[in-house]
Amino acid sequence: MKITKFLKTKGILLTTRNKEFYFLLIPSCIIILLFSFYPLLRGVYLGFTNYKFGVNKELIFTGLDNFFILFKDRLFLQSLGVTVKWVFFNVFFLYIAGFFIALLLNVDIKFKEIFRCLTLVPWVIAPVVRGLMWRFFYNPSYGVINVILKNMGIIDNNINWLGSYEYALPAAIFVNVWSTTPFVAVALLAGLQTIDLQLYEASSIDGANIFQKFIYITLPQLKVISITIIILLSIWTINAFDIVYVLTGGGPGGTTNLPMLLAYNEAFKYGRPGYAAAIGNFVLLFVIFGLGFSYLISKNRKEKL
Amino acid sequence: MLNKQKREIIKKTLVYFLLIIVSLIMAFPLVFMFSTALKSPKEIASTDLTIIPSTITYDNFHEVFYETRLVTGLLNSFKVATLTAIIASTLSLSAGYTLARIKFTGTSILQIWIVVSQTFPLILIIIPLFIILRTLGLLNQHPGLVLVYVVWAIPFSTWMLKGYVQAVPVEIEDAALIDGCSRFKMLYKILLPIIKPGIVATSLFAFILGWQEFFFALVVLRIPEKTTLPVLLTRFIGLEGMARWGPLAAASLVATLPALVVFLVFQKHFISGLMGGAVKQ
Repeated sequence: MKITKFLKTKGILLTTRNKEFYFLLIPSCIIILLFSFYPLLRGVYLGFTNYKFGVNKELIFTGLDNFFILFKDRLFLQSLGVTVKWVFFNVFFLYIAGFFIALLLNVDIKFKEIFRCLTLVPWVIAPVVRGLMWRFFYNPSYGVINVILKNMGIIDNNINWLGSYEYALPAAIFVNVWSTTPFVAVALLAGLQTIDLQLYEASSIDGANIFQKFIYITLPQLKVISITIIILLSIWTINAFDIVYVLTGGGPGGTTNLPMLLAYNEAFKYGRPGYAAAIGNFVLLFVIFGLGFSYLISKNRKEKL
Repeated sequence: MLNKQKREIIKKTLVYFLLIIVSLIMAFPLVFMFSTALKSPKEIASTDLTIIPSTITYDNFHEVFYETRLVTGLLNSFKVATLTAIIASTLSLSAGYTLARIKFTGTSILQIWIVVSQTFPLILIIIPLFIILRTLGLLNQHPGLVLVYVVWAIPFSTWMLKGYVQAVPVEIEDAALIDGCSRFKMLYKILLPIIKPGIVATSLFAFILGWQEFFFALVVLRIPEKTTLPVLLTRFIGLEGMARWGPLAAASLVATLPALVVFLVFQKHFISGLMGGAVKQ
């Protein structure tokens, strides 16, 4: 009895007066536990087994075996290299582009709402459609990209953007940056609007120019939100699937084969879900690392306040 | 003084100029898709860049509606998205209400679960889910996909609705309860009408999620008659990567329409909600 009382005062168990609330909470809890929480744990576990679809073999716990195979798997090692480039350049350009647009949208001008609306357009489009659209624009013979670049005199001959070892990854990165920039811009714009304008006024009196204001006021004020955004973007880009699946399907020659594409193929094409889950676990390590890092930062900030 | 005014004008002109370029890059693809949908195959394959088609044709739309599975895909998507919206917002409403009204650890668990469901590799969840759905006989069935979407939408929907409920003073509820109204009757008669906008917003969020989602649909619905729009659209691209772009553009536009309408109608609401969320981070 003492334990339940303790749990109630701590808000872990509901108090008797609030019992009726159980009925409202239970359906969602059961559904989440059964179809989200359990599958997640099970998925992590499967990464340590030899589980295969369509084979009536016993499920055997194989420990770290899958990981040892992973690090001898040429496809996976290649995918790791691709992933490093994919995440780095995506996050880098997303942050720069998002910041740039946020600064522009923060200036007090007419038609601000219209511009804000227009920059959000990619958001409205389903990820698959974004990928399909750009596949059309990248078309080697009559795609808009080739036509525009040729008219501008930047290239002489048509480029097979998605079909070449050299350009497929940059082309895919461009599409992902284009489609995720609205999120970064809006998040940073929200951050910009929380900055106390008096800081800028005070620095004006001290004779600071626009660049000094940016470096000594804007950037430090946005430090926390920037770190959060960068961590979130890193996690999202390492988990990316839709756009690249549609654009290149991982090719050519595996040059855009991100871990989730690899895992999807392993599980649902080659019937090796155990191995696929091991790839998922590997990515999970980075996700946990990122989340832990952002948790520490937010805790640190709260202590300072 | 004049110098300062001049500088202000130059600054604003520069900002306008840059914003126009940014808007072009962000919005041009959709405009160009629209124009492609109205072009003839010959004009699509030409290297002259035209925004307004020289001859406007509705053949592409005619073709996708009458000669492809688009209508089936539309109906499938509509069914899945609508069911997702109804079930997810009902469950989220009761959960969100509870978390808004009582002090309970559930709130922090919910917060953690929102982060988890947004960041964990989906492959880890989908493999066991695939097995569960197969065991339940729900693979290749719309209810199976709806189940997956509902589970996925609940954390965030609950969070949204919790916010809307918290904005309603609890005194209103207490007054009704003291007058002898039962809690469920009070919820139905008093709270629901007040938070209607929140319920609409949450339902739309879940609907768009169901309408646009690709990965789960790809895994769960593996027969053509059952597939939802996003998966169907990828089938427009043939084996050799050869695609018939006119019909594809037309079908893509049709697929984009619901989210576009929702966005245009709720634009202000949407952006402020999002910015509010971003600041709280």
